[in-house]
Amino acid sequence: MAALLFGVTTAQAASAPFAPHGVPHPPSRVHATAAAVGEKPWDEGVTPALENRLFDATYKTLPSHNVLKVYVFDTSGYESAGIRFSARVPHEQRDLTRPELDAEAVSLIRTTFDQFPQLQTLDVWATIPIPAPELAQVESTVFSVSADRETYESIRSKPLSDEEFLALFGQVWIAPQVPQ
Amino acid sequence: MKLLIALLAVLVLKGAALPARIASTVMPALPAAEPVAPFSAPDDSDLGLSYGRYGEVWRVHTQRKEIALTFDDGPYPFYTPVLLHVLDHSRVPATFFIVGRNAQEFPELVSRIVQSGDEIGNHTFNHFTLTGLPEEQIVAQIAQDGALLERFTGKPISLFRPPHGRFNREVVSIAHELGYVTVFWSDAANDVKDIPPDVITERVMTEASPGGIILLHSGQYRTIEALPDIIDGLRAQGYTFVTVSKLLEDGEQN
Repeated sequence: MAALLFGVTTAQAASAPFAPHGVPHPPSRVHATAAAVGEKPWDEGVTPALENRLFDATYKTLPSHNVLKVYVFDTSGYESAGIRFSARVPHEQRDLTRPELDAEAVSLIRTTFDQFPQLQTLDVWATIPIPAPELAQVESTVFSVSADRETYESIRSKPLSDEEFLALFGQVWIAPQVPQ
Repeated sequence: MKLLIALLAVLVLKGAALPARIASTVMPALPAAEPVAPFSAPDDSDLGLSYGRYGEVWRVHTQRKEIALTFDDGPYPFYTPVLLHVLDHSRVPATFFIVGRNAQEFPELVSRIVQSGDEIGNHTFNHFTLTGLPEEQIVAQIAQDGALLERFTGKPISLFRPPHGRFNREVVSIAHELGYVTVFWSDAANDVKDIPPDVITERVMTEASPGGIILLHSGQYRTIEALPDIIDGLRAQGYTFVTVSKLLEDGEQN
């Protein structure tokens, strides 16, 4: 995993998810172009049908359509989802600001819990690309929030700012370098 | 060497306040692997802890049917919360060996692990293979992660597991001098990507034994799929799940 930040070669990056020691790479950190599997690389592949539906629903909600990857897991009737989106504004040389990140996260949480009643928890995190060799796309997380349905149901109709809304989940993290 | 390690540790701990990406830029590229100790537990039938050749722990000899689940790497968004849900739902404590860089990236997930009553151990800051690093870098990798994780627990971290299971005398010795017990495993499912859950379960069940330490990984959804069957299967055989620290305590009492 260290090589992902410190000088990976293209070949190393391409083979990274299948490293011989069997240690998985974090889902947020890398998705080497050559390692993309299947026709829908935005799906993690845990529960493909549901992931594709979640992607379709959430992709449309963000102004920049910058959802990168969706994850859905069904464990004995307990369904959990994850959405990774880009904090880099497409076609612009800037990253999303804190208010913009908050707004996009709130939009993803509302869309997911409203349209997928079976989902109990949702992890949302935003990443930006960091310098890496050609053909290897390496990302670093700048924002994350974990949301649960119970909290969502209790606050969904309250007049809250985006920041207040997210704070009530108690699981918000934002990197210092995010522009305010 | 103790003095050198102590000095290096102090320097590292002071540096730990720096943002990880600044501090970590001084770290070298991953070095070439060198010959390392084999992945085999020592054959030691004495009661108590089973120490390897350098003082590392592979299992605990105990009459109690206790066993410890351990999860290396992470924490990861999506995966770690689901894993915690399965463990909490089954009321199973576990031990997470955490990578510092991931902890710094997802601190709220470390908090959730600790709040769930699970144990956390040191898995180094960057997950480099330690056996090829110079001594000061080994110290830095262990001490930086320890300093970070202690902020979550409010007390020193006592367990250490080297990345990739690669170790030598120097790695274990440095960890010991920094206050850690180096812990490996007696039961590894080799739960790499896309191994079917039933295969993972079978591997775990085949190697399970009282005082055993089971190695699994945090970022594998197949492992999470297998976990309910592993828990049910071991419980059906009479096993009780404990953290690694509890297992070590019980081993020492025998």
